[in-house]
Amino acid sequence: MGAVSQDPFDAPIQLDTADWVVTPQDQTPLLTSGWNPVRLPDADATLRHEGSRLGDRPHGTSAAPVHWYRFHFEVSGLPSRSLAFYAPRIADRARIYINGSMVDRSYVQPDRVEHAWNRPLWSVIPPIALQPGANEVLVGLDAPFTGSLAMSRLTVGTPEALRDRYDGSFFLRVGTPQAGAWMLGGLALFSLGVWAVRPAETLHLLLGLGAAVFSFRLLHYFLTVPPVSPEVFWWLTTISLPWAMVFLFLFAFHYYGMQRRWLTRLLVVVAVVTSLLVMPGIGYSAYEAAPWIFLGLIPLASFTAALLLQRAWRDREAPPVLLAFGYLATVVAGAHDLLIMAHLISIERPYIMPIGAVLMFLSFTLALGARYVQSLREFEAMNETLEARVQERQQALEESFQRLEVMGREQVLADERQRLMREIHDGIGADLVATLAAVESADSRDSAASKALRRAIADLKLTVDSLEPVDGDLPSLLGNLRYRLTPQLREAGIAMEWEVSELPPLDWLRAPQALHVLRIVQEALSNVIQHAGAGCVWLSTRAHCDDAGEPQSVEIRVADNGSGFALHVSGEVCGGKGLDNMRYRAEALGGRLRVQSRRGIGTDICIELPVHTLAVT
Amino acid sequence: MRDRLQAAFANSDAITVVEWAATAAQGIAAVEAQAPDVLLVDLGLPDASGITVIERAHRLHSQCDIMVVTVFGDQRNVLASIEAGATGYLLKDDSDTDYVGSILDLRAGGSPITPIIARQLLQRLQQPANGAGGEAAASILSPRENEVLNLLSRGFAYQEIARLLEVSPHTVGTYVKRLYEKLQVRSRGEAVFEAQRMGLLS
Repeated sequence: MGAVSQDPFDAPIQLDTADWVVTPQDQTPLLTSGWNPVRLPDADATLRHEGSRLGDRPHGTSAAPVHWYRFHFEVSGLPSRSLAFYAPRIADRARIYINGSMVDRSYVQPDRVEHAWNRPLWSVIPPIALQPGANEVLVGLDAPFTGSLAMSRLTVGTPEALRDRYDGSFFLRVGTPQAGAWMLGGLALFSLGVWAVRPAETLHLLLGLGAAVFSFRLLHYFLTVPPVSPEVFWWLTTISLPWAMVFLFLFAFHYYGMQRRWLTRLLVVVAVVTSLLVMPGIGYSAYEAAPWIFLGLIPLASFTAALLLQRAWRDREAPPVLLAFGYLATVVAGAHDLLIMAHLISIERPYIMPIGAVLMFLSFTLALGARYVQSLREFEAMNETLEARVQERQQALEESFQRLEVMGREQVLADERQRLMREIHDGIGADLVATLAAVESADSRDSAASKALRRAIADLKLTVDSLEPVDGDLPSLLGNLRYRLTPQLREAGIAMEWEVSELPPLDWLRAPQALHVLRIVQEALSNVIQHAGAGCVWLSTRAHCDDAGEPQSVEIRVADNGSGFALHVSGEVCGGKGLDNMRYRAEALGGRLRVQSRRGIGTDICIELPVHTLAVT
Repeated sequence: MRDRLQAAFANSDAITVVEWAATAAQGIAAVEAQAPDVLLVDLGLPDASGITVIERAHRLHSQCDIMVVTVFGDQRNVLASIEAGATGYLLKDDSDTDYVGSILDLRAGGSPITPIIARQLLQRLQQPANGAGGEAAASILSPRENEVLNLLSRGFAYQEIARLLEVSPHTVGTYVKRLYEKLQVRSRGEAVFEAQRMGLLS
């Protein structure tokens, strides 16, 4: 059996049957009979030999039975090149004989446990060990600690033809878990470092712990000589998986804010109890209990997967989708590997849990990163809003400062005006009135002194009125002038026709300008009182608007039915000088003065003033 | 001034002088002792402002008509006096007959007003009082009062307004007096509000 008549130098030969026999340690089956044919891959050798899957383990390095697989292949002619043996996976220790001589073995120290349960077989046979015609290969396997044997199909061919297969298999079985262990170790350091700086970030703690225990878990895929006893090593690598699942479960629940204290405690207690139950020297063998422990993880893993999937479906955002994807990758890998362990699929397939784990932790880290970036963006947006608000405030403050400044200036002006008014009122005013009283009690009301005093008082009144705050309201100003002049008009027997309409406020009308306006109109009215001999005087106002309806100018008209200018010569001179003054004042205000006078009919004085132009005074 | 008033009152049957006072202290004492119908107060008293006398008299005799005697009738002094309780004013240099006429007018219920004061009154009574509640402030002027004040501020005389609104000139005077009283009430309300705000009243 196991003989094939092709030449492996021509093309690799895959041998999928072998003869099988068991011998004690330190014996070769060269003389043994009782070979049985088996199909490869074969994972049931221990079961056949000892009646149970793992046998009476651990057998130890000196007592472990050696399971031999015998193959034959033909070589035509004298071989001048090497041949290579490749098998995708063997378990556990291997020694290889060619034509009765040992040519290779997988272990260095025969009396210590050197794990090789997850390795491809690779052996290069020098041409000298080969012979023309039939060649016999013996592969002896034993499993001093695990008791679990596996022999996959053997391929014979040139090293050049087979090396790539071996390298690929080695990379998947050994290289990947090695890289994964380093990667997860680094990730654990990073996450725990973040957590150490920011203890509030429980997610980083959980991710770090999960990555740390999972990197432990990955050690058993490739570590041949554990730094601790095999019992402790298998205990550590076995219980690291449930711990990792607990941490991942808690991570998922924390991530979605569903953490419950009692659930956390329950899971930790269960994990601790399980760990203690399979601890070396206390209870069950961790190695033997591992499948049961892993089966027990299925509900936890399913629950976590369901939660992550549901959230990813609901949120449809990068972080939740990454979480679900990473976890699913692990679940699929785990299920795949469980099927291998249960021999439901070929044992030649590599365990892919290391790939799943790396994918999962990368996705989880990316998810946390995405969330971090998201919150950074939110933070930046918030910052921008804050900045905008600060600027708004600043502007408002500046505006109110400016307003305050304006108000302050106006207050100073108002205070000054008040002081001036008080001064006029209590000082000059009172004095003038007292003097007037004294003069009038001594002389008659018509004395020159009395008249001069009265004029002075009237003039002062005009000044006082100009100082009153009227906010550009011309009618009030004119009204006050009328109020002042009413006694004089009454005395002169002149009726006043008052036709003052509402006018737009004149923005330039402050005290000096108001005094100009008052003096112009007073002059006009005084002329009427003193010279015109009129019976009636009309005072009317009007606003002139532009095409858009915006008021542009206002007009004050003083008209009388008196004698007109030409009738009295003295009035001509006096009025002429008065008119010049009035014109000068009107122009100073940016306005115009128009005078029409007809003998016997009367005089019409029209003062036109702008609404907006700031007058130069 | 006193002489001129004395001379004016001597010619009038309607007016009897109860008491003359030269200082604010004397004035307050007189106000406390007597119950005059009309009180004339000069603001420039030697010991204190006439405002204190006005306030005291107004509190003691709510029926007393208080007139402030002023040179110019400027809005600052007049409005301060009105807020203290005055409802009229006399200009110092008015002719003798005017004094008696004005006093009798006021006694009959009509107050004088200048356009600038009317304008100030319009502004103050139209704008909502601080904390006094917008509604009360909005309704403080009736449409008719608003109209009267508007015309007054544009310089129209009582007679003209009376013609325009088809009331008697005297009625316009009573409007003015009522508006003065409103300003008093309002300024007092504002004072109370201020006091409350500053925690002087609980």
